[in-house]
Amino acid sequence: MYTTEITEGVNLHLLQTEKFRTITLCILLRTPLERQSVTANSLLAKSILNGCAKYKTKRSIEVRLEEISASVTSNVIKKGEEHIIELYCKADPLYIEEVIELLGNILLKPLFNNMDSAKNDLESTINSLVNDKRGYALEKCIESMCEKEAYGINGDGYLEDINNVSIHSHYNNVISKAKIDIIGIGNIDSNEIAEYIKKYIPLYPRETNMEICNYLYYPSAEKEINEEMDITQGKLCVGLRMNINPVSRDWYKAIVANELFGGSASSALFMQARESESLCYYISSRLLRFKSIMLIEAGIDSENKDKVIDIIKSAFNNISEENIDVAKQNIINGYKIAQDKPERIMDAILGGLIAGKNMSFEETIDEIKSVDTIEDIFSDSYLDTVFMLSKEDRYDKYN
Amino acid sequence: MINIISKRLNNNAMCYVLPKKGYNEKEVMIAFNYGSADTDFIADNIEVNQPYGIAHFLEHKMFEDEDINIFDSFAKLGLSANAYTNFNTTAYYFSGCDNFEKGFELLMKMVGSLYVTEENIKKEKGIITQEINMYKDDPYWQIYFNVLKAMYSKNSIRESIAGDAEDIEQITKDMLEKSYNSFYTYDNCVIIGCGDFDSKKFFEQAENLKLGSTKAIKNKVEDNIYKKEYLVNMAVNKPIYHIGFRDSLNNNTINRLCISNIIMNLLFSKSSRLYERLFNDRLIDDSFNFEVLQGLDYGCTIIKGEGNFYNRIIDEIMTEVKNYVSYGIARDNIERIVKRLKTQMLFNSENISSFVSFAADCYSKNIEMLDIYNNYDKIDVDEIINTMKEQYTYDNVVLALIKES
Repeated sequence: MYTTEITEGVNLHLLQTEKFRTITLCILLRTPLERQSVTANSLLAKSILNGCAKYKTKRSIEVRLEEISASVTSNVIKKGEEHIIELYCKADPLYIEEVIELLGNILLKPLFNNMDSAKNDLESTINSLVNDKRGYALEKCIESMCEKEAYGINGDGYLEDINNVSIHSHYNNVISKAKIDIIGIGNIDSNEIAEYIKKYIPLYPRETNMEICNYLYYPSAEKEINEEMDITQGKLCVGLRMNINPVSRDWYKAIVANELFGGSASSALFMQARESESLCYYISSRLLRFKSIMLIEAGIDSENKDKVIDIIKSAFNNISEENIDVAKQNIINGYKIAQDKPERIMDAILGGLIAGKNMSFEETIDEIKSVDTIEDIFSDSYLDTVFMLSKEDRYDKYN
Repeated sequence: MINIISKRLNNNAMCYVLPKKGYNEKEVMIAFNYGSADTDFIADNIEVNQPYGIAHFLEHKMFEDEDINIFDSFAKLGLSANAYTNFNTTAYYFSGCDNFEKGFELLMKMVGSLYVTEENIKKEKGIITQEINMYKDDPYWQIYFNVLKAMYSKNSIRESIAGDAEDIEQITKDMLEKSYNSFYTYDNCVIIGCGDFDSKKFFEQAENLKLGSTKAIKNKVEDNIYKKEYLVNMAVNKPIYHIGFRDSLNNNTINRLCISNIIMNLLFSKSSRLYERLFNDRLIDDSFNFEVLQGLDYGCTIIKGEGNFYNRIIDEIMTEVKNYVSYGIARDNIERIVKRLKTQMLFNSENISSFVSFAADCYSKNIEMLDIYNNYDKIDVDEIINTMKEQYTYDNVVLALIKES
């Protein structure tokens, strides 16, 4: 990978590969995750494509994209305790100069047209979380688990703050102060891309200092939260504090242990809860790296909650190493396959930037290979929160 | 631009290789032209009617063998296996980096035999009931089937893919064997490989597949719109709607598909004047979306959104269609939309799993992938206008709604 500083606080990372026919370009505006700016960031992502100096409306930007065979979306990403505004672009190499020119215009000369539509859109996004019951249970679990930490802040923002956002001043603040990383992947000429970026996306230097995310947390007691809704199947979400340094060799042990515990269709949780006891269709565990959190989710009949929690606890306290070689191989394959997907490469590069330690793909694989045991990896880990979204009692009476 | 190699094998199965030079991942899929909508058919001159959800149930059972779990066997090769069922396709696939030939052998072995017992059927009913319950809580999944229920009075696409708990309760060993023998045949199957490997060797290995030779005959269903409006209540924050327009079946498949894709993008993509008006008037938000759904005995377009303005949006669609019909469509407007559609195809072709599913989908529609790409340029304005005029009418529209409970 070719990395170059465009100006202080603005870096360009380019990965040249002939594997892809198209080019993926990503502009990341990195800010700390804070309650007072999260809604404004979300609104900025919702409105930045509503028009720019050269293409005055959302529609004319879209028409331009069709002409130059490209697509652009704008999003917010919550990763660790950063809140990142992202412009994500896919392009045909034939028009790469035109695409970078357009991105520059969108990023540096936005008009913020139709703010009412953007606000309406953000309100819908925030409100519709409840429609996705699995997503809702995960979000609620994290929110309650991390209520005293920045990570408990909802990345989409808050309804009550939408009307207090002053979009122009917020934009000016972000564009002049955010740490900016630009990532490009594809069959590119690095010098040419760097040239176009300097020409069409001129940015001022900025002093940036992103704080390192705290990953240690010892819950004083296990928290249990129950919520009822008009649903058919209960959604269980369990959060654990692993207390494992995400930028250490132990982290790779945690990845292997997670794979064995609940990371695949051969894992202990899946075999026990689904294949042996038919208690669920899905059950899995995942890791939130920078907070050193493990989340377990399952869709179950509400009355089986205690039974499933017992399975989770006993499986967690007794993870068998019998299949460790298969698990390691699957993780390694996962990394290899990720190298075929630009969005996954982006995510890995961003992860490295947040960790402050960019590891190559080969180094990561070597770390996994060197894990020979997972013994004691969870010796300092504790269950923090159990969130259960259950079927309403009322619902039975009506049916 | 998009490279595809195809071959009809000696055993009559269709085989495609989608080369991806430099990729680590390889994926192989074996798909049968048999899905949730194919519950009624004629096998050995006898009419068969099976419970809803049986194709999906069979998909689950294919992963079981006498004494092993096949997921595990793939995992031990460092491969990850999975499957899906939709209206007209059941697809089995694995992906990974190494042990490609061994994985392919295992996949062929897996689809080449069925192992079911009364006991393992019973166990599966518990798991699938939980899968059905998971979808019951997903309003976006529910509304999709509600719009199809409204649009079709008899066609089995109106039934959810996994069926209902009562449907799968009826499923027996004999029924599963019947559906397996009727549709898991050479003349009803496609093999797709994608990645960086030698296509010649792949075609050779594919000849090892062992299946039955002649498929059953699917019943084609003719029906009418069932209901103009289909309303249910669920725990949602505001109304979710799907607006459906049935299309007529009197056109060849590939033309229908291209015309529908062009019309939907002309009307509803972010570059359209209708989208701009609806968005600026806050009648829609970013959740607004659309889909073209087509099979051999069904076809429709679906417009998806959230909020209270569904009736107003239907009116706006009719007005916009009237404008295009009266004043015509500028040629460069169509060319731009065609360019958009081709760019999307190109972007999708870079992702192995979406490219492979696209290939399986084309097989079930009996069309060649690249023909779609080339066919876009052959569509003329009159065909687009005529389809708009016929399909987008108040008679043809249905509305599915989920409101707050």
